[in-house]
Amino acid sequence: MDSNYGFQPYPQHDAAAAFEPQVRKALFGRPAEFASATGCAVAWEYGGLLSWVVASPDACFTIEHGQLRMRAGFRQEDHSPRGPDGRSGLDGQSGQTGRDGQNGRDGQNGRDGQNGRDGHERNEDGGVAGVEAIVDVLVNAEDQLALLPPSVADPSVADPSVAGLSLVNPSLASGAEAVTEEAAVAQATVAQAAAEQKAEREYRCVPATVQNQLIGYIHICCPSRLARSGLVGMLGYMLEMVEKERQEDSLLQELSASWESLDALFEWTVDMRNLPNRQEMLNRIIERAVAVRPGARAILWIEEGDLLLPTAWVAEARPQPRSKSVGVVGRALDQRNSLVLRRAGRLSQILDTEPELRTATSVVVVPISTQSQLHGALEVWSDDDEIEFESPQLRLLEALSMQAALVVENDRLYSSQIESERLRQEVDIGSRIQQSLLFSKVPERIEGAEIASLTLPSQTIDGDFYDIVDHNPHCFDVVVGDVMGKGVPAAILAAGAKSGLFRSLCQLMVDAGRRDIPQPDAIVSKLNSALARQMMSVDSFASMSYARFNLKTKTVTFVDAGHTKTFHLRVRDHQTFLLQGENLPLGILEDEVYQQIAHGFEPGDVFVFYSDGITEARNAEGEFYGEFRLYDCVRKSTDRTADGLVRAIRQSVVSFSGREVFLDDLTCVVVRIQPNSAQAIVTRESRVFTSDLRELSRIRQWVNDLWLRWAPREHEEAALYQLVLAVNEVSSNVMRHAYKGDGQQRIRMRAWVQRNRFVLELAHTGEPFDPQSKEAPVFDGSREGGFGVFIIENSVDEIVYSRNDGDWHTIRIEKSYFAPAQEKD
Amino acid sequence: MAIVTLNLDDVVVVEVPGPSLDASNSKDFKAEVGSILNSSQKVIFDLEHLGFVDSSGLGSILSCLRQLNGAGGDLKLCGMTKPVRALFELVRMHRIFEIYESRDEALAAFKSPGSVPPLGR
Repeated sequence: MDSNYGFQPYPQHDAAAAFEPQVRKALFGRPAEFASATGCAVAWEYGGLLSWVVASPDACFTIEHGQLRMRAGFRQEDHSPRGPDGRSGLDGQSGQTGRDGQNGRDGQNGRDGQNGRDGHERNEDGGVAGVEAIVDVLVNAEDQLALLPPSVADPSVADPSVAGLSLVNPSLASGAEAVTEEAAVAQATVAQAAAEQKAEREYRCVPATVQNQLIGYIHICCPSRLARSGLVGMLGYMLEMVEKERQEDSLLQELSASWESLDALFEWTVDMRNLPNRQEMLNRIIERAVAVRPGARAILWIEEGDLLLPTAWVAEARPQPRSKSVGVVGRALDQRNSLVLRRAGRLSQILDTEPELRTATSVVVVPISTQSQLHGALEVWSDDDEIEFESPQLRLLEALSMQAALVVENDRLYSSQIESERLRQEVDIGSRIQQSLLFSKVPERIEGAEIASLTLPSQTIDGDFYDIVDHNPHCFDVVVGDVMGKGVPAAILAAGAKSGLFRSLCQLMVDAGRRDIPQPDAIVSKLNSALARQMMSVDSFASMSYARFNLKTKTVTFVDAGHTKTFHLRVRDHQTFLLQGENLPLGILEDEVYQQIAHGFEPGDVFVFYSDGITEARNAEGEFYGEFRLYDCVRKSTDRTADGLVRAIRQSVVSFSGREVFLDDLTCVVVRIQPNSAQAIVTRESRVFTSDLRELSRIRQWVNDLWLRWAPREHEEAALYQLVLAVNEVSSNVMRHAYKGDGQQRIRMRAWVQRNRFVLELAHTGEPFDPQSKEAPVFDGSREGGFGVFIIENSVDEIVYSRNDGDWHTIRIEKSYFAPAQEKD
Repeated sequence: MAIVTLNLDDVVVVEVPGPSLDASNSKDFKAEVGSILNSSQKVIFDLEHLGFVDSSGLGSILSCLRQLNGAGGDLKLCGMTKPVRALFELVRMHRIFEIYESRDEALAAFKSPGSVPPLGR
């Protein structure tokens, strides 16, 4: 086919390449099913190639000279006169011709191409039995063609491709230079009219986009218009599958990367315990470093005065000592940051000083350091154009350099016999392991929930760890664990536990064919059986909470492996739940079968995961902080965002214990399910009043006005009366009891007007007012007082007394705009 | 606090001054009204000017009732606004007090006991 038709070659789509593996996986087998069900021919085109083609019995797509061609055959029964050329388009070429000759590139083309052949017995001239005419046209994405058998359109036309052409849209016709524009329009109109009655084939092209990126085109040739709805359905399904595959791929990739770096650290540490000296250990590290990429080379540089000494290497030539301020390595040391460079162009500048990089195409330099001291650098490079160092490799190399720092530091400190310094450095390294590997970054984007974490490392590192795994937009896992023991060994065991977790998850995902995300009980059971021996061999164990949040079903599925009770605050009624199972910690029994528990939640609810470092923080008297204080702190916090709660918990533990540095790590993860839009805040207002009883009327007025201005129009009047009454009673109690009648003090009022409720917080600096000490009211008229607390409690939905922010005591009142509070009898 | 009273035969109608009876003025009210109660047996508190009563205000009205009952007299209430009525119901004082819609009904109840049933008993 020549290029007389004036089409541009098919454009290349960058995004397409990225999605191609997922498209292929997502669609495996589907197009064939679709085609056989509908009788359509379908082709998936990306980047100018037909990735696969499913031919129908009498239609097929091919790419020839960079242009997409569609051939459709019409059978005898479709029209009476036989086409002038009986040659079938459905020859052996179907579906196999890529533009750059990559035939059968995904192994499906050939097979699918067979569909077109197998059902049909070939006749002598290479045509297909029963196929009387061929319409052979070039098409592109903008075309919408209705094809008729040549005889219906114009039996006199000799060339079947021109016969098809005469029926297609004007852009095609003008490209052929065969007809004037008017004629083309007229013909198209005629064609359309004819097509409405008799069209036998329709061509459509549907651009496929995922996340606004064009990933390719679906070309389809339908025997009828009906099939088009099937096409739309299939496209929707396909895009869904592609997106799902993409998410799973990136999840799996991320999981493997985390698992590799953690696993590596764990195994190296175990491994290196058996090595006799520093040089052996560094040699082992350099072996590991070059293994991150095939063909990689590496040098481990150790600082000695102003020089860098090559201490271990895998390189062509023995490296020579050099100044520590030169070249790429010098730059990384100067910045104290890992450096990743790619492409020869960038590297050309530093050839003289760093001869090993002469032919390098990419290089990574990771400083070897503790927080206080720089020891050297790990330099890894590759000469291979195809090899790039990406974030998983970088993470591995950073884990290795941490390991090297540990080796170098220990060696130095042992030799200088500074035991206390050694311990301090060990803590430093342990805490770097923790911060970089054990405490994951909270994902930036989890729709429908907020997550915040608190970590206060202790003087001696514990084995606390946590992770958040974001499966898809409505499902994520929170894992919080604690390995028994202290110091670097505990941190490294925790790394082992966490890597085991990722490994279990990955394995289960692969085993399940990745149709479903494995269940928490399966993950924890697998993790336990993988870890149990290692844990037992070092007389350690780990407790863990594994919780999967499903925002669609509003369920948390929960496995408790002997961990602290997870706390759930149901915000609607302030009910609290403790999530606790009966399973043993990990590493006690190899064949323990872990059970999961399902538990429902509601919008706005709060979950608190924590380590025992929090509940076992002590004050000067040796009392534990305890679970109750933690729950109380969460329940009473006026700021219910995840960040706000984490701050409140920190403040509460610190002020209870009177210290900032703890014996154990304090770890806590707060999950807050996104509140309904009903809980959205409409406005916030605040005002300070004096504690004079004459201010009561101003306070009432302020509340009344705020309510009337912001509450929904259909609010209940009775609810307003009750709120005003309650605020009045609380304020009056504060003035008379907390401030003992001193009218010169301040009362701070803050109101949050939400869509569904009115929240008011009153703060004072007087004596804390204890509502529990009040006697029960008497309703027989025999006593004049004692109603205040009863009135307050029965007028509002929620009242919480708490102490926070130093000297300020706060009382929070919540009142719905509807449903007046029920009288308690 | 100026309290307006009306003497109708042997019944004293006290127009409780507005707009509110709360912790800031309930003591004053009790002191002011005390002398009236000492000289009367049948008293009506007309609360129509009161937009708000809190537990202190309620306490002072309750003490008036007890004082009168102690002296063999009676106190009836009328003209309650909605917010005040809501408070009385919340603490079930509508079962302790005889409450009437209007001043006339309260008067009629004093003249012929039983002729007008009080509200919401």
